[in-house]
Amino acid sequence: MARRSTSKRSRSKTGRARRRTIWAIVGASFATALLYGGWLAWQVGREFEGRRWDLPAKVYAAPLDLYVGRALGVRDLVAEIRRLGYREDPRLPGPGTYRVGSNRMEIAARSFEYAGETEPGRTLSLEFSAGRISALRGADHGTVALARLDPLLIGSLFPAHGEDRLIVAPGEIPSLLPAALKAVEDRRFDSHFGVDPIAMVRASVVNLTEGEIRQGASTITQQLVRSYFLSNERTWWRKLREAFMAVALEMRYSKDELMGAYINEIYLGQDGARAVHGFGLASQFYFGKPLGELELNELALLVAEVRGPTYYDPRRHPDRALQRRNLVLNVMRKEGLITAAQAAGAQEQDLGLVTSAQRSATQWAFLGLVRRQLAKDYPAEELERKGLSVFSTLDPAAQAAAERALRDGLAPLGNAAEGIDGAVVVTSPHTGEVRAVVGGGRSEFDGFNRALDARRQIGSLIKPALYLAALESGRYNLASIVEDSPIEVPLEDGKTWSPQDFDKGARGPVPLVRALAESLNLPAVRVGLDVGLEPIADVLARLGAEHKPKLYPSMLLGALALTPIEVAQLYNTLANGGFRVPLRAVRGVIDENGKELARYPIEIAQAADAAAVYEVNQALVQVMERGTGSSVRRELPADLTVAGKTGTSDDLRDSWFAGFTNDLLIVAWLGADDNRTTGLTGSTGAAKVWSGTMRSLHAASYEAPQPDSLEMAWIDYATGRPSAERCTDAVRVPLPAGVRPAGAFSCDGSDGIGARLRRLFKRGVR
Amino acid sequence: MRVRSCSSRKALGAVLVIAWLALTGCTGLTHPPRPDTTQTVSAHNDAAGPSATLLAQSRAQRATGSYTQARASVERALSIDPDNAALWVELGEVDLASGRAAEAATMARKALTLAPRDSGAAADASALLERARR
Repeated sequence: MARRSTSKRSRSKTGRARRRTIWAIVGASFATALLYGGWLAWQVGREFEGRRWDLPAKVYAAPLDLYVGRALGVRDLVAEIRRLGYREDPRLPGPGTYRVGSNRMEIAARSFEYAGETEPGRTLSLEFSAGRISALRGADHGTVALARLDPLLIGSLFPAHGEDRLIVAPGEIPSLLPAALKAVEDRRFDSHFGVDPIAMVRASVVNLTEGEIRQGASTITQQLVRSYFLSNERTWWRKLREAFMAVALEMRYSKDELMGAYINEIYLGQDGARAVHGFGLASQFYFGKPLGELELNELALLVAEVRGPTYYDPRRHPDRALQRRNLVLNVMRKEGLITAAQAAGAQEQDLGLVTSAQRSATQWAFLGLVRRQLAKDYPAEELERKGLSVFSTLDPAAQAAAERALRDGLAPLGNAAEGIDGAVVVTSPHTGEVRAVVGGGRSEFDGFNRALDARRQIGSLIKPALYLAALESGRYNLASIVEDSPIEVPLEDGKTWSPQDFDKGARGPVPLVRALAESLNLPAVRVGLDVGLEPIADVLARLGAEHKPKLYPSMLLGALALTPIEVAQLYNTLANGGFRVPLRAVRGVIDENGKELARYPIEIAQAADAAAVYEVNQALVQVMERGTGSSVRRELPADLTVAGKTGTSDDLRDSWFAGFTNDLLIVAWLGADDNRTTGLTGSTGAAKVWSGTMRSLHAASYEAPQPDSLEMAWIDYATGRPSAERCTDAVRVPLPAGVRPAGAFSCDGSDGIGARLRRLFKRGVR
Repeated sequence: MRVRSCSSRKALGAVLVIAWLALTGCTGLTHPPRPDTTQTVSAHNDAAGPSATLLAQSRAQRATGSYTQARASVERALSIDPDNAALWVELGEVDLASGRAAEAATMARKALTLAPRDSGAAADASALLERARR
């Protein structure tokens, strides 16, 4: 008994202890839940506050200037403003619309801020004649001297595999958007407290019978929370946490704030490595225009995408997307947001997506250059998060032309082109602004920006630098006779180098201008050895090459690897008369409040003797007229003066073409990433890409005032002897004042048209 | 090309330009000295072409000490009319005014390579070069 009572006592004692333990556990759990809940609430609050500032820098193209006399046809301008998302509407209902006639156009231009100046939104009326703007007037019919259009948003400097968004302020959100979102995603948004029990019960029943979570019962607030934490696991625990956080958010923020955050936050599509978040960016991504200008059918498509941007991807699955868009329109009609007629009208529309050509998807290469230039002044963190606006020098028309030319240049190579790719750089020589960069033929970044990072042998592209050193030495001029005959060069290792001309020929004595025009190797080696490797390397460095050549004789034929952007810098200095302007892709940067953070002004330095550069450039014009560039030359307008140079490296591994007019410099390169032979020379591969780009743009002829120290003289192109304009093969070259071409007067025939025709068919070597 | 440079881009300044061309006889030259724009602008003409408008704007901004805005105006003009010597002189003036004398001298030298001999722009460039070197 005693034992029993003892055991009874002890049992009641253990019972009390157990109760105490239970209470302790309950208390501890409660405290833990409280702490955990507090932590969750704090975490979601921090996300909500913090997200507002997590904005990759936005990069804008140069705005298009409109003025009387500008070389721009109606079709060019239509292409430009369609890229900006302007749409044709004969009524001109508001900013972002235009109407077009055969030789006239009216544009309801958007207002915008650029470089601290406000461009007013106004209606511009333009007339065109002979491929130029012939009249520019405002709405009051008053003459406008100069107007510009809003700059194209070309992309963002988002982190690798990161999110990108274009924030829209509450005032920029069309009122129909939140209404439509509520109708489709969360009908009781205005009344619930973050979770919607009615919807949850309904969904639970469906899910229990289906055996897994299928039907979404998530409120807009819950979707917002889910988007913050990027979790798509469908567990009850996750749902619970999400619901708790949603309630926490609702307690702290107003419905308007939550809706605004949702509109800027929600995931709406994938653009390569870039995740498209928010309606602002999605509007640009799918339709190429600001959210405020969307038509009803377009707005409905974006709302449709909320449910699953991959499944309903309008570019990959247009039928599914269309079906869901029309469903959204039906819901909007049932909720009384739109009339039946509006719904029916919108349902008749097609998806209306911008094509990839309009979006110009290969701008990644240009953005790479922007990022690289800004990296000198801004840490990645600042570029990727601080909401900066970057005003770049990109010319969308030049970019589109270069991309098209590279695609067209690679296409005919067919299977042989396997692994062959290319790059194009376009600049404005005088100001050093980079107008376009193409880093490969594919529209998406494949990890290799060839324009900036492909270091390749430049071949004959070195020759202008070589002859510039010769001319600067004062011992040579364009009429100097140089020998196109075999030469043996003893090398340091005891071997002998026997360079050859491309066609293995030997023409004997030729004038320097012809040696450069026909890209003859033997005279180049002879002159180069005479001038010295050191002065040539010095010229290269002065012109802007960052990589130094090894001072071997093979350098004279271009055994020197440079990147396309470096070559562009080199030739830009030539095109600019010997003034080096560092190539710039960025004009200025402003912060999120519109305060100017940096401006990158034009900087120039005299890098070479202006007269010697003038002489070289005149020889480069002869490259195009008579030499290795003549076949390319024929693809351009007959009255356009251009200067250029082909380049081909050993075993046809690299095909280069660099050339310029007064306001345009283009460098094109083709080659295989693994550096095997391509079978292309400078004039068969890259030259096509070069001329394709040049043809699409409105180039003005290369012309530079003749320096005082030079005088023009006619010489016989073949022999370099004195000649005259009337002679068949005469060429006009600048020579230092007082210098006379050597030898007896030479004139083989003196007719006009016959000689010119002969010239036309005779030339065109490689 | 010759035809185009003589017909002039500046339809609005057409009268002035044509008058000037008639005086200088552009049509007869084999090598036209850099025509219209440079001349009309550097002669402080009030031709309403875009670069002339922007040049006047830059000068006004420079006069009030707004060098940043002046630079923006003249750089915008240069993107339209890159080989206009008068604009390079103006950019040099903005440089000089904002304490960048070495840059100003280079701009003047650049302008001299673009300006036809004995033009107003060449004289302006020489004067700028002299002041920048002081």
